[in-house]
Amino acid sequence: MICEEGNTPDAETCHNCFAPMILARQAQSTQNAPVMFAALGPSAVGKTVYLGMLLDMLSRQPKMLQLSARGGFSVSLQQNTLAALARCEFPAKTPNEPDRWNWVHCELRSPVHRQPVELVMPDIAGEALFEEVEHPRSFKVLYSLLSRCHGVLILIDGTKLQSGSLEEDYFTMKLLSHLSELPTEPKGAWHSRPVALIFSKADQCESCFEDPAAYAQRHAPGLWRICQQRFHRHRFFAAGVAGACVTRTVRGRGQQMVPLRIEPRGIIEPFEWLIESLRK
Amino acid sequence: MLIEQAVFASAQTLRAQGYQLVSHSPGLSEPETRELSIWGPSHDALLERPGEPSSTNFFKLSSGRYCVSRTTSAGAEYSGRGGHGVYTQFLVVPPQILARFGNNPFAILRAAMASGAIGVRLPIPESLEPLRLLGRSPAVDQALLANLARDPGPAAMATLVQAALACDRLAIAASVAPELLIAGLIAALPVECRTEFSFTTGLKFSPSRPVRIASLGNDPASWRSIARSGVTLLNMDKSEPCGEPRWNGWAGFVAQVLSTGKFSVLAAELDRSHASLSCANLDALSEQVKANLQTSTRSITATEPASNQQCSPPEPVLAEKETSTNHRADRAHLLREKVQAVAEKYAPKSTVEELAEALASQPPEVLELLEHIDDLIFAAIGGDRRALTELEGLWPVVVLQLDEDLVEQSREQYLRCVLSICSEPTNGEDQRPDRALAATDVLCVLFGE
Repeated sequence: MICEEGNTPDAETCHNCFAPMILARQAQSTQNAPVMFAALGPSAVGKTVYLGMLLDMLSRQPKMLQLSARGGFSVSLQQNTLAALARCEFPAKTPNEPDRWNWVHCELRSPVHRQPVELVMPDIAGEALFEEVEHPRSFKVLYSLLSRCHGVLILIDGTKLQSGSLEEDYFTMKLLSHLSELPTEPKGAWHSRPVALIFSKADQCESCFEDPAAYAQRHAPGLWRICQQRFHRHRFFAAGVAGACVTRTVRGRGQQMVPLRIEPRGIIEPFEWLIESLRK
Repeated sequence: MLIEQAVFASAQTLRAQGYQLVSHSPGLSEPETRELSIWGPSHDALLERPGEPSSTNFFKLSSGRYCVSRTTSAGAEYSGRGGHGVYTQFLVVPPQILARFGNNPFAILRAAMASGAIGVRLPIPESLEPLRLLGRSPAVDQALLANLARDPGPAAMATLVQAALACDRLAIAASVAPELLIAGLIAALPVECRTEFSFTTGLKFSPSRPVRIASLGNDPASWRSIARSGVTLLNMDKSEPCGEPRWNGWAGFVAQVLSTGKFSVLAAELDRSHASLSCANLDALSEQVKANLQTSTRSITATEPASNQQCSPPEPVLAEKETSTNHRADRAHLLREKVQAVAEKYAPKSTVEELAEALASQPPEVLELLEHIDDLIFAAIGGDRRALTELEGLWPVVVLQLDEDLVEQSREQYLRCVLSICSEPTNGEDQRPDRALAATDVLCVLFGE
């Protein structure tokens, strides 16, 4: 489904891109091809926490967007994330190996769509994305996914931007530049696909929430400019999951970030905007 | 010619954050660094095992050089998300250097460890220097093979060799440490074939890190999905017992060597160069060496049919023998007669008779094994270090296979012989201290000191 390579009927993962074959089998049972979104960003930006919390919130929401998992594997991401947060820990780092990523296949019901939308989202490793951006086609699954997905959620560490670090700005510029150079798929060139840019960890830099676009213009001018020039459908958001964090030192394991409470803010809005953008 | 190195770990650098090739020596090419970056194992990639988790890995790079690496758990994940970091040190070895170490990645790693070049260095240095490894290593680690002949045994090892040769991807489950098993597998293969076997001893199975031989975790539930990826699974704890001729080609030869304890035969064979040998044409070589092995065994039995029944004291061989296929020589007969005479002088006749009686009831394969032990003991006393090494590996196997009484009686007789040899002048020469030292070494092996 991701790279369109042929596989044996009993294969667990695609021999070419290592995406789980169960996605393809489940997708075959539906009339419409699934919509694919990707959550992108550098390592430790908070992709797993964001996606896990988003899925958990949507799966419990009684109105508006409703999401139901297709297959037990699709629940693992939200389960692991919430379990870790409940223990006052952040979820473990997503491994670099594509066959060990969590994939989510779910059915989404929204007021703007008559029929339920089949949605596929992987939780990828930031390091793999970095390698793919630096050396395209290093990870076949990422190349195929980025070429074919309908929209992206790009996470940018708001705290790093606020501290004056330009790493996030550069990485996101590289990523957007990479997307815009990908070959044009039937879904159209990337400049017309929706791009949600989310300042993560916004609970630690409250000013993000006030006006995310202005925050981008102020702290990530390069990123802001490339969005204006090349991506016609983009919007800036701010999101935070942990209400407060502290650092503790664990003997033999160095310093560890501890989320003190769970206070999700701005989680659903970017996703909602992406879903709405699908209709346009 | 140098060995290049690189470290793949979780860190925050100017270039990136997270798992990355943090540092490497300047001789690595750009494609090589990219290949290592993709291959590098990241968070939670080590199989959970008792003790410190670690993995030895080996694969060929597209450049033609070979990568030997060691992965351990070290430090913390850089971002503070908890969990141990995974630290991998890659050694990129030119084929010529690998050949100098018998095409054995474990030998390379041992040499690098001995020189202090392998180990976790935190913080990771920004630049690394290439390594120069001196020396070489023998084709076969006989002590390792002897240990594996004891546990998991010749049957399991022969099955492993047969499966490894037959499958392009094999995953092993075993109660024996996979590092030992895979090292044993490599040691049992001809030097020319070893580079065809990429492996990882302790990393979780990942199709994105294709290796020919991998080890499985302790959870059998995870094995099923691995089998569906086109990987052959081998449960070493359920292999067939030895004695049934189920192994073909090279595996059959390995079974024969391990069950008879004639590791020196394997070592001698693998020491020879076999031009253009590969796994594809290994069967021809195995037929040839099996025939040689059988011929040598038959000739021993034909020339000395009753020697084992009377082997107290045991029969010696020349210390300076070139290959272990030459088990007998005229001088050996003379020496044996002399030793026998000396032993009879020191040992009560009743003890000798008791041992002879006990040996008479043993099956032929045990007698053959004891005969080989005799050869090794006298060669070792004569100063043959390789014989001593082989004895170190083989004696524990013998101890396990024989009755306790028989072992004790054998020890006693060997002790008498050793003492007699040490105290008597040899061929009219004065007693030599090095001979006494070698005899002491042999006693240490026999008595487990």
